[in-house]
Amino acid sequence: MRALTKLLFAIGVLVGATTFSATKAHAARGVAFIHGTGSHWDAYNDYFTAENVDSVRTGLANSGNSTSNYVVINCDFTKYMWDAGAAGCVATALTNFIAAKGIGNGELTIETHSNGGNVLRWIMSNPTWDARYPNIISKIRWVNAIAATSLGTPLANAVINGNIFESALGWLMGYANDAVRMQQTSWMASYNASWLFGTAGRPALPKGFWNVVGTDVDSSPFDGDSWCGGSWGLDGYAQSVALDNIQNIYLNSCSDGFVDCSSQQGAGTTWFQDKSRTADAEPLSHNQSRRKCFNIDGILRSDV
Amino acid sequence: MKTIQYLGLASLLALGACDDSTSKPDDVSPTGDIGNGRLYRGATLDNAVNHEREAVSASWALQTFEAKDLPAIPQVDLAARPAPHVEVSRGYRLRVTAAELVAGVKLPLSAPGAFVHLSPQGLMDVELDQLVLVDGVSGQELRDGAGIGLTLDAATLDRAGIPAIAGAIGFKPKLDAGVHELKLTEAAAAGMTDDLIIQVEEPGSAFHATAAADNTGYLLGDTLTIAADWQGADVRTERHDAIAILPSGKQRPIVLTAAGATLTGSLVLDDEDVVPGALIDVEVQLEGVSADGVRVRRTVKTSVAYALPTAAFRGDVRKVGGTVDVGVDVGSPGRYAVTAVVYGTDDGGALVPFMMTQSARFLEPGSHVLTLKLDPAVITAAGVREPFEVRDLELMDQTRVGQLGRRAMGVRLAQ
Repeated sequence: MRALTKLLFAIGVLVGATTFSATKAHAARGVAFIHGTGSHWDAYNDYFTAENVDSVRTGLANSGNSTSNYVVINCDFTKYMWDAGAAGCVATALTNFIAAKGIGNGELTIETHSNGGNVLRWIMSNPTWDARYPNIISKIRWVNAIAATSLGTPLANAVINGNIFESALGWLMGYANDAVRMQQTSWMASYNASWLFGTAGRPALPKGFWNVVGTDVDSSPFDGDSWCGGSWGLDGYAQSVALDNIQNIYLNSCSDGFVDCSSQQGAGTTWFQDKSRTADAEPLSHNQSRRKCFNIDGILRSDV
Repeated sequence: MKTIQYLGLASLLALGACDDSTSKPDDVSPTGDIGNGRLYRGATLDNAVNHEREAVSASWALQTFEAKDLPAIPQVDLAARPAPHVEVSRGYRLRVTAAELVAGVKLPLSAPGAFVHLSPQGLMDVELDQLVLVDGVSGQELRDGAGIGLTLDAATLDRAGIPAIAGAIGFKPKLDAGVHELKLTEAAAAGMTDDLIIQVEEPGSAFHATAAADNTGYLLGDTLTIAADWQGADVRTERHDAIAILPSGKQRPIVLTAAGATLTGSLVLDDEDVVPGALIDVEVQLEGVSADGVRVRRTVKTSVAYALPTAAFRGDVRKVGGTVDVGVDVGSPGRYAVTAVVYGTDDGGALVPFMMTQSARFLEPGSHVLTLKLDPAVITAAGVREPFEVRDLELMDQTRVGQLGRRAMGVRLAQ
């Protein structure tokens, strides 16, 4: 098996002519941000926050590329991952971005958060679904799957079961949508066994899918770090407290308050668990991992 | 109108035997494969979710990606086929009317530290001081928040930016294991016409229930078999119930019978109303008593794929130069894809997986071939040679998000 590992690693070094191979000479490099569940119109400000995106994209200058070679997609991730409003919308946005910026083969770093990882995995697992997919995949350098819900989350089970986050009002507001339904643990298990690659025992994805894993939620009122990551109009500390409580009830001890570590690491390869690289070894809650908290932006900046 | 055609079973079982260029495959049991010899001719494009008409082929080397700053890429050990998912539950769910809750609902807890979430399904609120807990051990009635630890209400969740039920409340009762009772005051129930859902999570309990189907996916006409069991402790089951919720929303009861310590039940799938990509949920309710007298209740749900057999493997797989032709019989128009893992022979003579290949195009009803490409650059880079073999052959309906066929058995390819 060790010999096979070496063989396959050698393939990775040598291969230059697969459908999704990379030829990197004189091509522009870029970075794309793909949000999680929900329908977003301004993910730059509302989901990832401008200060986070702007910090990460400055890393493009390190390779002599324009820091304007970035895109923050706004799609409807209340839909199933294969829907035209989800993966179809992502394909449109990335195709336009690649063309507009002249992004080369293997030069596009993609930062996904939460369910965004599933949508990218759909595209990479089903390259023949849409004639635009192969070109997108060939441009991908790698995907950084931050807090991915690759094996689903028990909280999605709870939503669909109608006992948390959800009500008759919730239906009207779209909480128990197809994307949440899809992220139930038993549903993701089914999709991972059929339509999606990259999980244990299944074929590998055509490009790297690197997990950034949030392992804990820090909600001490005496710890200022608990306050990082609050969005406009919301209370970061309240978010941490709520996520901490939810973690204790529905999730394993290793989770980011929304997704168990096992799910975050359920597909692809683990790049790092938060505390091993964040500032002061702080954990990244599910909300903090999409914001400028504990130098996650610096880590991603060095990676683009 | 009957729209199902039965294909010759012999041809399906003899995948790869229809052409001189194929040889005997590895010995992998067909149990767990997908495909039942039926062909469905009644599906239209009315609910298509994919409108792509361009033929697309793709292939990629396994493990080709750059390794970031990490020292090595872990090896992927490919399974012959995905195993059915085993869902584990440490909680249960009840749906009750307001009148039932006023009268009192039994709340068995198998360990301290349970969390109870009470969610009115209508517009009425439930407040903590409207609940009464009856300690089943001491008989004491606990009112106005007495006997309740942590509470997590909609306002807290809303403040955190997490969508929450208006009027729902979650709390941790300070109760030991035992059969307790939860009540709603009559005043709170006045005018409440909608049901309430009670979800009990017991993260500290040693008693888990499991549920698993006998395959990951099913086609119209297949028989789904479900198995439910207790995990972690010896529990004597006293009550059980199972129901399948089909993608169309139809509900079908499943009769469970004991087979040793496991409960099993089957359902023939006959619903032609299929929602693209939506799964069948099978929900099992179990209640029993452990060897040391602890009453345990669990709700466990697992989910499986379901599709109409709009196309099927015909049975022939043929290597033609640098491509592999896969025969497909199509019953209903749609975009169909074939995917396979390609194995090659390494220097030591062992078959090793080295490439994925996938091909899709729109097909009208009839007999067709989908052609998989074997990228010569990937073969060269992998340093493998003939004989090649394709394994884990999958047939997908991309128009309706249905998995129509899976053959784990390898098909040896030779010129």
